[in-house]
Amino acid sequence: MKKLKLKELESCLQQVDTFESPKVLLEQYPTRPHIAACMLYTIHNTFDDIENKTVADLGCGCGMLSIGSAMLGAGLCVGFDIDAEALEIFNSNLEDFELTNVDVVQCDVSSLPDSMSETFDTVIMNPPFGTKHNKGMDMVFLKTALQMAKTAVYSLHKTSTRQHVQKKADEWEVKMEVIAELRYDLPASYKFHKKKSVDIEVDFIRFSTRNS
Amino acid sequence: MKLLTHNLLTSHVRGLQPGAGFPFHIRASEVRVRSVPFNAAFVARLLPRLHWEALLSAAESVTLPPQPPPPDDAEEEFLLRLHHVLLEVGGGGPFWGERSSFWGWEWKCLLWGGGVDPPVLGSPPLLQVEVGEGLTFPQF
Repeated sequence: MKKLKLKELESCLQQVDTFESPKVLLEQYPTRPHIAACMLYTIHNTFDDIENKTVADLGCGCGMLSIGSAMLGAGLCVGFDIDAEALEIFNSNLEDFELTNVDVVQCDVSSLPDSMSETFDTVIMNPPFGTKHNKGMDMVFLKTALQMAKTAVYSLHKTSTRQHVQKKADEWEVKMEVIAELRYDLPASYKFHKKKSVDIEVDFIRFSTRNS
Repeated sequence: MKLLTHNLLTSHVRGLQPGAGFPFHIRASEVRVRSVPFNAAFVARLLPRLHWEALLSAAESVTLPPQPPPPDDAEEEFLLRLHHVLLEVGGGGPFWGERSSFWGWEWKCLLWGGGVDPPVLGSPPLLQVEVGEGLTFPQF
């Protein structure tokens, strides 16, 4: 498989269509192409957790991370999301990119059964941060992800919650490593946003499960 | 949805036997086949993790279209067939799960062609084949 350069990956991901009308209760913010490309490139090059692996993308939305994983040679990437509209955009993205190693499943991630343990090699996600009437949702996603992953979970969490995330990681007996601190540029996508865009500090974290 | 995804989602469910309400019930009204680049290493890695019973019944319920022509190498042939079943056969998605989970989902897929070919994977595994590092798996 042809080696994709970071710049090439990013410029491909700029072609990914995102939410037409984001839903505030689901905290639908697209992962920006630059951040997505950097995340995936690191997961692939530093940890080799994408190529020929089964990858799950929880709360995949329009599929930015899934599509990037597929481009980096995932054996199969499955995106999970509750929102049918987002998944329709995801599917049309797949057709535009002519990707065949991606599947999409509509379901509520927070109610995926506990029994899905170690089904995927790698879980990648940009979870809802749990700031809009859904407090703790990021931790629900993380717990599900850790159950599903055989090797590692890659996730984004607000830097301000790092201590809490670390506490949970200790509780669940998983190793947590902050790979990068990002300035997450949230463009004003909702009416209640007064500024054009706002930077929030976000940790890019790798959680490794007991087996790895 | 691909049969591989189906198989991953059915895995590790304690207390549920194939035929006794295995999580995904596939009702094959429509099946799509599209070609996917063959990746032998990936398919070989999947082998020990697949749920054969579930795969066989899933393959049977979608009434698989004909297999691609096998190459000379026997192992390669097996992997190629498996690749076809797992990754190239699929139905239209996405899927809606009752009780906001994927339990009891029905597979509403696209109607595949006009004629129906006899299932290639329908029969239970008969032959055990040795592959690589002493790995044994049933042959379709």
